[in-house]
Amino acid sequence: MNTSSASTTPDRPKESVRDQCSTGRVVKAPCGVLDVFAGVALLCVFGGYCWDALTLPGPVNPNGIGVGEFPLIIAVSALLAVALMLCLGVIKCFRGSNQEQVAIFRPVSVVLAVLVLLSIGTYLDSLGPIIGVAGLSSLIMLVVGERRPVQILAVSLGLSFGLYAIFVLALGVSFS
Amino acid sequence: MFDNLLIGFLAFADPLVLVGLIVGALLGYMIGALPGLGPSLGVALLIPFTYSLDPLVSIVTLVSLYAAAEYGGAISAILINSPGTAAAVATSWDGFPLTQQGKAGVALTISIVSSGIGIFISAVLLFLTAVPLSEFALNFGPTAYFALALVGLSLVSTLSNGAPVKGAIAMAIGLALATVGLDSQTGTPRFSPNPEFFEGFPLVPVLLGLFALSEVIFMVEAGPSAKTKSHPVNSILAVPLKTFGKLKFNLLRSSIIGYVIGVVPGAGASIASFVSYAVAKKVSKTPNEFGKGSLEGIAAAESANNSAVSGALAPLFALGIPGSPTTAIMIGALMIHGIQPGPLLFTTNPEIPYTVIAALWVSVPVMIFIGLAGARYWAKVADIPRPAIAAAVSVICLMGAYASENSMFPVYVTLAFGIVGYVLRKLDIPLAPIILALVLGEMLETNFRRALVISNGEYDVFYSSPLTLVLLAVAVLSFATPAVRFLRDKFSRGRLV
Repeated sequence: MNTSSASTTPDRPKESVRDQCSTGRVVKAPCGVLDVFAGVALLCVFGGYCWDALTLPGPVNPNGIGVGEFPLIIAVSALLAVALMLCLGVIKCFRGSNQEQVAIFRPVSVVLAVLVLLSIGTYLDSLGPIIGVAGLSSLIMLVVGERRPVQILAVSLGLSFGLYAIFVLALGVSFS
Repeated sequence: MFDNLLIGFLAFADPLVLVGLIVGALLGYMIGALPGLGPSLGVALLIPFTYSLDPLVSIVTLVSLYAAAEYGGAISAILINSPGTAAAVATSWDGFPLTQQGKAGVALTISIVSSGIGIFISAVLLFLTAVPLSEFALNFGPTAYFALALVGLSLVSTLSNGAPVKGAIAMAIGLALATVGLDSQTGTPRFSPNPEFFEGFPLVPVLLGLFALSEVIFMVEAGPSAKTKSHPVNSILAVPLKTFGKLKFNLLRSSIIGYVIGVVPGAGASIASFVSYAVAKKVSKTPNEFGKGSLEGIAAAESANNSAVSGALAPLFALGIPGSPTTAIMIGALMIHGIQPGPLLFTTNPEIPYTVIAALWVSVPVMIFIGLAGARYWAKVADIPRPAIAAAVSVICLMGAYASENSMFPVYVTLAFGIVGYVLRKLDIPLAPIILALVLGEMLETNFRRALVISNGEYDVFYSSPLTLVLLAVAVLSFATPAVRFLRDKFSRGRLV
């Protein structure tokens, strides 16, 4: 499983998440089961996309194609690929024991991080760049596991004033 | 051509361009040396800071960061056996054994100078090949462009993580996202629940979310980092010049391999370094030393992975097709400044590609100096606590997204794609094809529809030209090959069981 960095290559040079979190709580799920769940979700998404594409108007030019036809081609191809993934997932599930596992380390922290990002991100313009950035950075540091107050204070204040100087003073970004 | 190159070099008369190059190099080294971050994420995070810069300064800074991040990946690979980028894995095979033998400085000098030589040679190749390629592409009709976009997508999607089905799903997600917004030909809104979607998904917030914010969640999973065990850096510059003389054919060969592999969309720097390492081992008189501290191994891997940087820029500038995930992100930066990469770029904005080529040459001494002078400090970068990096990446993402349009819509897009990116990566669905398909989707659809209008709706227009036929054949082959390999592997594994 892809555990770090957004590179496309299969060779993961990054530090293993497992090394870092061997002592923490872990939620595991078989790869095949997750593929089936993801497949069903993607079938719904692309099914809805396909339905929307069918409702789009036809071509203005009699020789051309309508605005919905290219999306329809994408939807059909996607549905085929998703169906294949779903089948492979079902086969993996039936194969049973030696299935690869997908692990989420420190699940509580992950959920907290998502909540922090969503709550502060949603109100970023109301909170403003200084309070918003300082709040977000200090909470994210806490969630990642930083417990030294001086470090948290220094990094969050440094980031908030630094980014305020760059984005607001230098680039002229305005907040409501 | 040479006049334009002079224009490229003259751009450095503006001190801001040089400052951009140096700043990009410093940031690139830092990001490259940090295990967990890479050039794609670095370029994505830097884009918001370049909104108000001159396009030349902006692109030079980004290219400099891209190249330096590939250099920087080798530093942590050599000193702490933790490659900063995937492309530096092969470097660690020989670099770290040298460090254990007390020759870290030798390994660093060889890697940094080889990287510089790789960039220099590949910039020459970029200069010689990009212009003829763009001139050739000027003759392309809609069908050839459609086929070309398909080739780009097929190569990238099928090379992703060795899972062709998931690569195809990623590509479909990207293409579906590209169809959101007002239709470019009729103005009809598609898949747009409200007017904010009429412009389509903004590229920069999408890539900030997918690449950077999802990484923050992975950092949360990883928890606070342990301090790395570093080795002393000595013998910097203690490599005699004749050592490089002995490596000259290796460096030339590896740079050419790196460039050619870099040109192929999706292949990238890591494949370039593995292939040239393997070739260097095959032709070496001392293959037994590979893996135990071979200078040839380091030189081959490093010159190739840096050469791939220029290689990836060739299809971007000449054809408008990104050669790597990082160049796909750079398209976003160019588009912000109203610059459309592709064959016309060399006539409409020649200063952009030629300044980049000049910047690659100018960057060689700058990066070698920064790399060698700061070698022992770059190694310390890996000790920056992970919570601080996570905090910095998350706030830059959200502030950068907000700054892109001075509104909250891009922030919501970034948040949504951050979570989607995390889930997709957990499912092993690669992210790079999503960005590439999002970038190429419009080109694919526009040319598909244009070709059908020209041919009065006849689909045989797609196999009426030999060039289109060849490109379509390449696309079909590149879609089919990994699928066949996948099925063959499954079948043979099944027989073994």
